[in-house]
Amino acid sequence: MSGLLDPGAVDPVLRLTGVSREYGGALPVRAVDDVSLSVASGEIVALVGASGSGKSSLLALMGALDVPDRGQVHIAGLAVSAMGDRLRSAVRARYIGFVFQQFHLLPTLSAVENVGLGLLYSGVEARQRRLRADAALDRVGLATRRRHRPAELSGGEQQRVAVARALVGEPALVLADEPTGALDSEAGATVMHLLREIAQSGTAVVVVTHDREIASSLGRRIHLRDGRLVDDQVRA
Amino acid sequence: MSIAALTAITGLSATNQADVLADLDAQGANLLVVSPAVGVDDAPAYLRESAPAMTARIPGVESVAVVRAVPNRVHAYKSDLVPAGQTNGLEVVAVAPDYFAAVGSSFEAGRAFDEAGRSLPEAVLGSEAARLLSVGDVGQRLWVGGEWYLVTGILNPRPLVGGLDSSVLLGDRWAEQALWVDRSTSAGGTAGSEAGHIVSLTISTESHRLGEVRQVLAPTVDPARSGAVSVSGASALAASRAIVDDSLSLLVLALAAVALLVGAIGIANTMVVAVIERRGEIGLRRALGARPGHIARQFLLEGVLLAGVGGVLGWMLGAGAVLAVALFGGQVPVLPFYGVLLYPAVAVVVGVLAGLHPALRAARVPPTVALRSS
Repeated sequence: MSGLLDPGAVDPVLRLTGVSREYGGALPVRAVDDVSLSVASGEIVALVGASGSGKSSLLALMGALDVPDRGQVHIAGLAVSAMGDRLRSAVRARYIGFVFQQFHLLPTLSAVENVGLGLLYSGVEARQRRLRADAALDRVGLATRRRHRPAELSGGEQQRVAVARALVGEPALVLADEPTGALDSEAGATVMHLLREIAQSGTAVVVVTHDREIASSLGRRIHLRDGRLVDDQVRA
Repeated sequence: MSIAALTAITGLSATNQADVLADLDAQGANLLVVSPAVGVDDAPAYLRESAPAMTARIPGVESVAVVRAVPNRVHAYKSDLVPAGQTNGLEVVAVAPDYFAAVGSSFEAGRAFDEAGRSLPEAVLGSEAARLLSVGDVGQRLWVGGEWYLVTGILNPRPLVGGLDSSVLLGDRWAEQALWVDRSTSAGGTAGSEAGHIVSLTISTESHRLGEVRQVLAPTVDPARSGAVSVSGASALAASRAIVDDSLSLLVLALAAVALLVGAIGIANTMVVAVIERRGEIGLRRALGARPGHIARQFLLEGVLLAGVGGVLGWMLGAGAVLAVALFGGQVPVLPFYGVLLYPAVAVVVGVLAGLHPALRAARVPPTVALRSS
């Protein structure tokens, strides 16, 4: 393959081919071991596994936050595993939205400013950022809370702000790391509903979760154990 | 804070320095005395009549005070009953009324003789002369050269103008018209040829140009025989003035450097802590697509802002301290004017240097920490 773009691979949005990642020096731990999978646009996938099974490491590789020791990662057809830090940063800004368990909102910024951060590194000018952030907040049902600081919002509302931040850049891929882990079941259900809506609008969504109920409610479940993919089933 | 210290240190020392220098100048550190070198034959020697005018033309000379001779026979006594031998070593000379201002002496009592008194038998006494002659106040009489004189003024001590304290000063015109003429006409002595000759010049200079004036003084006073002119000054004082001027500046510079270093370490430390505390935010921004350069720039900018704001506040604080101390100490506050712009600018530069390392550290935080801390 020449160049970073593989024209035949724009869809699936995410494709991993024989990906491995080791950590540590003297006694290396193979966190991700020869994983191959792909996720198409519009698909919503649960990534499950016990603690230490390599879920977070795999998510970091899927999100171009990290590069594999072996194998290839393609995002929207781009071979991110062959890219340097700067290019991978651009890929994250353009194609990927993240949702974290602890929300990661900046406490000094208002809701709309936090959402606007999602566009800060894509080179969108300030006025446009604000307009699109307003629209994204509206989409998660928080239009009336736009001026509130994170501390003034409930956990569920904070996570919805984080979801708005993830989707404001209209990413091809949304990666959610235990998005309901810090929420009560009702708020969790609202967030899962939002993620399903995002998938229905054509975005690929990967949700890391411990919650069996949530995992079984999603269309596809990928099971990881000791860094290996042990099960990948599409629910009928 | 360190800018406050910097401003305070430089301001306080500049204030003190100005004070000490003014003090030294008041003592006569900026004075030079020119007198003829005594020849091998011990004959009385005098300076050329053109010397005062020539000297006044040297750049840096503020004033020239002329001291003229009186006849050798003229000595001062408390009364006509004192034996002629008991001169107390007092020197009698003739000066113009502007002499006292030129050498910067002040009066303990009375005043200088005026234009009229210049031609009358009046005398001004140096402090030591007044003590030796037991003259406590103006208005007393003095027996000088066979005549009674009225004491019009007594000087405060001025040890740095050589011999002044033990001098009896008469009006130059009186000396010229009464003392010299009297003697030369009545006795027909040889003194006529040396009538009113200049025995010394006291030159007041701009203090920082003392050295250059001193160098050209002898050739100016007597271009033909500069070796026959001796120039003396309160050299120890002049030297100490230079030392005060230089060493205080050097000391201040050293203190300022230390203050800046401490400030830089403070900023760097604050920033390093900030980078550690904000690893989550850095990870998040990286996940949102920030490049390492974006992160480094953000932290560098924060460091510069921190330092810049601190610099301005520090300058105000330091200036306030200088003002307060100067007011309490009764000194005139001296603040280097360039500090207003320079110190905040220095602070910004320090901010850049101190922020550089933390900023680069921040840029190296791997983006995966956003995931890990959740």
